[in-house]
Amino acid sequence: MSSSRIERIQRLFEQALALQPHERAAFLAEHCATDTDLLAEVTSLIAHDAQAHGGFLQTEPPVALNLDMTKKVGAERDAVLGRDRASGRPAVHEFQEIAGYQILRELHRGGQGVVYEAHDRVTKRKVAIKVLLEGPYASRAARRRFEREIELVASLKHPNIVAVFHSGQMVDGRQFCVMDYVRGVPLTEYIRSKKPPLEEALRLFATVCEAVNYAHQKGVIHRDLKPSNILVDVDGTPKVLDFGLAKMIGGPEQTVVSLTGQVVGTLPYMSPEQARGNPDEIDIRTDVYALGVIVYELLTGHYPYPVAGQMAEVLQHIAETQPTPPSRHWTAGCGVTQRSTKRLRSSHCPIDDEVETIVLRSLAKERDRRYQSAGELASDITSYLNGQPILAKRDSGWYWVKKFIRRRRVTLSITSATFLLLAFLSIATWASISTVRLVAASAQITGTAELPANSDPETASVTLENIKSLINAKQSRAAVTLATTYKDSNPQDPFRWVVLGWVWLEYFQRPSDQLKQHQESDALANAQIAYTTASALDAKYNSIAAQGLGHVYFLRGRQSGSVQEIQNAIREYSKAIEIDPDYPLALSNRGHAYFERGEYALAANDYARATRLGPDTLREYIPDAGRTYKNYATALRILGRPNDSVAAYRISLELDPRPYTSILLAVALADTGHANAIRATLNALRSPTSNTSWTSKIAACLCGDIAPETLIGYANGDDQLCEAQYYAGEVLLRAKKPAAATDTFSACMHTCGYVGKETLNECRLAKWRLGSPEVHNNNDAASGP
Amino acid sequence: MAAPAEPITQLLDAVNREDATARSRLWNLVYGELRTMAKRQLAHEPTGLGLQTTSLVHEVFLRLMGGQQVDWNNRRHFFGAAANAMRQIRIDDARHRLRLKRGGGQKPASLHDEDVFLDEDPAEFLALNEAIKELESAAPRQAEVVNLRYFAGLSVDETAAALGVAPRTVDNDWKFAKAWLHRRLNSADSRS
Repeated sequence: MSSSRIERIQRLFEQALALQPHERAAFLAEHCATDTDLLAEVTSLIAHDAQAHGGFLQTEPPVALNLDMTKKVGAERDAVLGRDRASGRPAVHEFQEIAGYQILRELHRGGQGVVYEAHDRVTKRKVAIKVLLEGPYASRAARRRFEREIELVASLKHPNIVAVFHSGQMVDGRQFCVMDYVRGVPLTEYIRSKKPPLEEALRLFATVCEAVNYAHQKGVIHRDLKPSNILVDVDGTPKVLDFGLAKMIGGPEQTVVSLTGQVVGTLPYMSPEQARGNPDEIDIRTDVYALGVIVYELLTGHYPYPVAGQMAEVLQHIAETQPTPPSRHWTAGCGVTQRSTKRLRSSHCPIDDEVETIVLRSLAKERDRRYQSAGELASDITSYLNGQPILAKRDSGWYWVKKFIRRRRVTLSITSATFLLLAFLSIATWASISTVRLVAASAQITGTAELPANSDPETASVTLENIKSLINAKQSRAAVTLATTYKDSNPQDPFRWVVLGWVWLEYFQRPSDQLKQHQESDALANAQIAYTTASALDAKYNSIAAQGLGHVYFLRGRQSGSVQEIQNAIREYSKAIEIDPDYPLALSNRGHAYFERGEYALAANDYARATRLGPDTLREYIPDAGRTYKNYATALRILGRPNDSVAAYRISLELDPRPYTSILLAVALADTGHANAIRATLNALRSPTSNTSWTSKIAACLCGDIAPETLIGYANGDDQLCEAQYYAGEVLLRAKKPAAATDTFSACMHTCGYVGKETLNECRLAKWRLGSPEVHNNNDAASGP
Repeated sequence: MAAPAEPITQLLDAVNREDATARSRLWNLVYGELRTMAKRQLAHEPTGLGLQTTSLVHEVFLRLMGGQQVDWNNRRHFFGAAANAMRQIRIDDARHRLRLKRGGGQKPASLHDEDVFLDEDPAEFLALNEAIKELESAAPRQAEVVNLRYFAGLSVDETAAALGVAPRTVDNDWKFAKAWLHRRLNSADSRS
């Protein structure tokens, strides 16, 4: 159709529409004359115009603002598209007629909705129908999602999970789901009325854990486990209710906030990650935590920490307050009774050390310290019941001391720090004090094997070990306090100043959450003072101090993006190297500084000198020797030495097995012409067990499992976008699409520049690729959509 | 080739100069941004409301442009690229969902609809997409209006500003295109 023809059609269409409907026929007949095609065209368009109003071609409506409007829009769109909602979608029914069920009575009314007892007309069995509150389901997208969720939940078939049969939508838009009718009482009520011995309560609870574990294996997280969601039926069989519902209607974290007071019953079972409002962190271990609260309550009749009072306070307790040991909370009146096997007086607490350990392990604030699955929890309980050793360990005294420091972080005075130092000394019986350890510890701090000029090597050794442990446990503030105390006890000792400088640098690099920006720059200034003092006290420390000062400048430069600071860093590192040409830490750090500036030849030269000691020895001097090798490898690759690069990546992986390094190794291997290298290297990464992580997505893309565009699409956040674009470019390059690869590499650089991530290895490699000849050979077919 | 990270305005200028790769560089950038933002939006959206495509495109525009003044020609390139990117995302999404529907395998162990986030019936959407393609060849200007309005979520006034025409023209084209597409979708062979 020619464009003038279309224009003509459109003009007539507009003119006719401007007229009253009854005038249009005559108007068109007159203007189309004998062109019957034209007449038919315009007439049909006018007819369709009348139908194409409202939701047709509406982009996503502002559902969040106006739910009612959304519904109307959706209905209208269905109407204009000539679809009948009722026939197109199942399960829109009058209330009394829900999909062939007869409503008998209302069972329960709560924050989520209403539960009815009903009769299934076909199977003749009794069912429960939960009708959810109207609200978030108004949009079609949300409705679909709800249905998909229900489908997943309906796939759960387990004797201890209440079966969901199906779901649908009522005429008024509310969702319902039909489930098995269970005649039972909530778990806590059951325990309270029956007062079973400890073993029986635990056995019942282990059954619940196994059911939860089964659901986890099917990919369903409950998110709102609580005693009222666990019914015990007349046979004493526990049944877990409402799997996945919390996700669909907004988990407890939303419910409590919006319906304060009404649903506070949910609050005590909330996990620290939910209390902190980190929905991203919710996983199966969230359910493990809730199970921990439940078993705590079953055994003691209390919650692990105070849950009454202001919402903010309760949330803080959940997030931070360590649970009272259950044995201390137990009273004969509230908790489980004595163990059936041991004849003890009923006033005797049946909760022994092992049970307490199991409960507290489930209630760890950090997810990584909990049981990693409900199955692990169940199996430890079973082990306990069978008299076998449990896997959970109590947190060590050491851990608690660290906890103590962290909690007192703000108010910790020098005096109490000294006291703590004594505490460390008594705890640290495991630290067999020897000169060897001292040398090793100080080597990591100063990067040389020089022994401190210290009159008391025992104290030095223990202190250094303790400082290192604190830093490794991310308690860098406590480490600073300890190092300051150590320095204050003999301010004439340059070694102590060096230690302090090092701790400040570590503190800067591993800031704790509460740390403010200005404190960070103080950290660098403090490190600078410490190193300068050390070198002023004793010229023997000049190289160590120069190395440290270099690092101060380097970090400052990295933070501010100042070229001058990096230059200063190189100057200081060079001073250190001049005094001590084999100083591995200074060499490696100067390498990093050159690398930072994109001077890869100089960087590689320094890395080569630093790594002459070999990885095992280097690790003694440089804690993150893996990074030294990784950057060395990247520099070598950029310098066109693929085989050496591969070797260096391999060593880096041995020292520090990071998935990213595997990926970098894989693409470097491909450079060396090993066709199958990528798959072989990344096979473990792309395995289904880790298929949710970002690195496994990259691995999948490099292996050809997903398209490069898809990888870019998966990227979440700036770093990931840069990485995705670089690896997508590598894939395109190998697929002999150099032009598309060029575009993607430049998009990568563009993104990196935009978000200030030029220091990523991936960005450096993209830049290098743009400069390398392979991508310029010829043009492939146009890229883009 | 030394390729400094170019600011978006330079990239748009390059598109204006008909620099050969600029268009796809722009596309790549906008596409990546949109996907990222879509993910972010979905991740933070608590109760599973749909994706707000309109605000997405606007957000990406603000993010990339900052407070800079952008002339209409560059707006047109940007929103054109954004509309195309959004369209591609939705096509991918629809195809993906269709595959799932046809038993391509339900994702096993996840409740997160990572890439299933849009509203339409996927088949319905793909049919619409085909119809728009036909409109593109029959009436390119009207199709561009559809692209900007429907995929980039621009209002009539914004579309007019991006195309450098009067709002009234956009209005007319939009109305015409809607009738045309509606007819196309409801004619007997629209699903063939």
